[in-house]
Amino acid sequence: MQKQNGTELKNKAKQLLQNKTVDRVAGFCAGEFAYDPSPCVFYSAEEIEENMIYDCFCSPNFSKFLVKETKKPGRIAVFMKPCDTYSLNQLITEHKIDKDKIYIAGIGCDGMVDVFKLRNKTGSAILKASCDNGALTVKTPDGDMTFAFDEVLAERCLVCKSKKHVYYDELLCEPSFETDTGRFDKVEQIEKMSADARYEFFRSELSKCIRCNACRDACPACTCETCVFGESSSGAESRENANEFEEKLFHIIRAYHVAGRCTDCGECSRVCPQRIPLHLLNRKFILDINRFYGVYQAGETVGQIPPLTDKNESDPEV
Amino acid sequence: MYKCSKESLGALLSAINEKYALYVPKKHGEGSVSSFEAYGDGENMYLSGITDRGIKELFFPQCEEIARFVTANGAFGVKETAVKSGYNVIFGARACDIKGLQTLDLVFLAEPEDRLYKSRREAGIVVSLSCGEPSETCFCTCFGVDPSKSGDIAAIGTDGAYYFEILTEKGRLLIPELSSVCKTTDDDIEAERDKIRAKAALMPAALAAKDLPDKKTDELFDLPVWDKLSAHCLGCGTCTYLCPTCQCYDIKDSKTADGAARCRFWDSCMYSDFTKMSAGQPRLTQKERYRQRFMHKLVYFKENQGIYGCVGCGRCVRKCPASAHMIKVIKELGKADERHT
Ligand code: SF4
Ligand code: SF4
Ligand code: SF4
Ligand code: SF4
Repeated sequence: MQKQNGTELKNKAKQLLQNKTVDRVAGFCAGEFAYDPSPCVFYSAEEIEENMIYDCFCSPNFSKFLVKETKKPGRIAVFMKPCDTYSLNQLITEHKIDKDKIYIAGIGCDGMVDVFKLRNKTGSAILKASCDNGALTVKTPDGDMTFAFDEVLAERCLVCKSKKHVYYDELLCEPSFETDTGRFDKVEQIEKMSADARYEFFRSELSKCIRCNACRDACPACTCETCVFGESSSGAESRENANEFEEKLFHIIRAYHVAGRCTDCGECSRVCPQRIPLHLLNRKFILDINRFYGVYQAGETVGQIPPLTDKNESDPEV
Repeated sequence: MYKCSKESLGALLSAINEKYALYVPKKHGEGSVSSFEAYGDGENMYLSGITDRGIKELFFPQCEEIARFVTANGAFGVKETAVKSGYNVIFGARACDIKGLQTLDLVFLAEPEDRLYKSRREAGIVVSLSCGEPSETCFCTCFGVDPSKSGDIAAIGTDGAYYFEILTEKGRLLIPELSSVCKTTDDDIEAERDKIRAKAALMPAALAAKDLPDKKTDELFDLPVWDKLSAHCLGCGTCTYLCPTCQCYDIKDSKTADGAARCRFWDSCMYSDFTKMSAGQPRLTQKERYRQRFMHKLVYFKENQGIYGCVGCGRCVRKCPASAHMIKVIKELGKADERHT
């Protein structure tokens, strides 16, 4: 499904180490199953040769991880799919990542598989899986099954906002473009609901939350050193939603805090063990910003000033 | 043993539901996760695979009030949450989750007994359902779990029928309901059970984890491999909150209109403020926290309680957003065994 295959990335990674462009390379190591590659940092060509892979299950966005990684000495190379580069730009803008410490190789992307969706389709154990020519083939105890990509792609990929890399040192794929795949359709549908129905929709979705904090921890826009929801002196550090109010409080505060900075990378919804469509909250904010302040895409360029922290005479609230 | 046709399962569950609060695994449509819920109208039951969320929360809820403090007319009073009496039934539990209860028992029923947990444990009649369709992430057989037989009553689904075998005294309480819908039989279903056991033992996770580390703390604690394993752990609580054996909780008081309520809620050793004291959190980095979770399951719990603190349900394997899961840990620690010998 991915445009560059594992071998091409391996060769590139080895080359970047050998010609001393970087000191280490971030990528994926093969997992135990077909779909669970581990993010890994490679220091030598041998390690790369032995362990590095890349396929349609390599979904994690590496940008946030660079916040910590760039505090270490040396330079690190990372392969990035288009959506990752928006998060990266946003983090560079917020001075969380030092550009001189990274080397970004942009790789093409046809989308990543959502294993939960896939599991629903197979209904039995996933023994092997491989992506090829627009289809995913899965080996199960009941025989092989083949699915078209559209059936198993992650939601964020079905409505991918852009195949364009907005940051890179080198592009391994052809340059590409922003896409319009109707990512606001669902938000617009929800807007048309009655206030009660809308409230009920979000109440019922958010009531599933187990407050594992994975959405926050994976979110590239959530980079506070200490989160108010993890700090006992704040009085709001409860792990569990003690009541319905807290349940919503966490998500609403989070959505407000990332408003204007959320690039719609989709990590929150990807990691949520309860399958809560968190992206809908964030997309509503994005759509509103577009309407009130003109179309704005967080992370499009380094150094942009988000409309919510900028003040202009033309702002609707002036 | 009792036998009923597949079609009459609904009638049996309805009969149970008339007399007891009944919980069954449910899944509301493709996009939703599966968990145990009140039987209700019996719609949306999900019996074919392990649920995303297990039965632990029916015994040890994520959040519960344990006491109330009230001030009235100048007097201060403490009101402990009353324990409920009467039985309830949980149908469709997996053997791994039931083994999970056994590990919770070792903690909550040890002195001083946890009265709320104990009351729920005594009230719960657990009917297991055999795993016809194990997942590639299942490795319960590595921990001596029998996926075909467990709980107070073991239900096993074959091609055309369900069989129910009563395993405990408490299980006998459901004899009236069983007899009203099912027939008694002395069919030999051992061969069916063997098929289920064999299938589960061949799952990729079970094969990968079959050599559990049998080493002491000292031999594993300082292995450099913890750096690698934990490098991308997000420090979220997904693995802990979905685990049938994780039992840590925190306690918090909050104001109410006439005093305060004391609640306890699940905590996670993966969190940066877990067991935080005035001097800080004793486990300084995510590596130490990560190591704690897995060492607790594989080493400390076994050293202290005699059994592993993992039951091989595979939930952390499926749901870890960084894929930094138990199977990878077991395999790496296994390699450590090689290095040591
Ligand atoms: S959102 Fe777009 S760029 Fe990102 S993984 Fe999906 S298809 Fe690829
Ligand atoms: S990842 Fe999902 S379950 Fe976890 S805190 Fe976020 S919304 Fe809640
Ligand atoms: S191991 Fe995985 S699920 Fe557990 S805390 Fe780390 S990232 Fe979260
Ligand atoms: S550690 Fe993981 S596999 Fe083991 S019982 Fe807990 S969630 Fe299941």
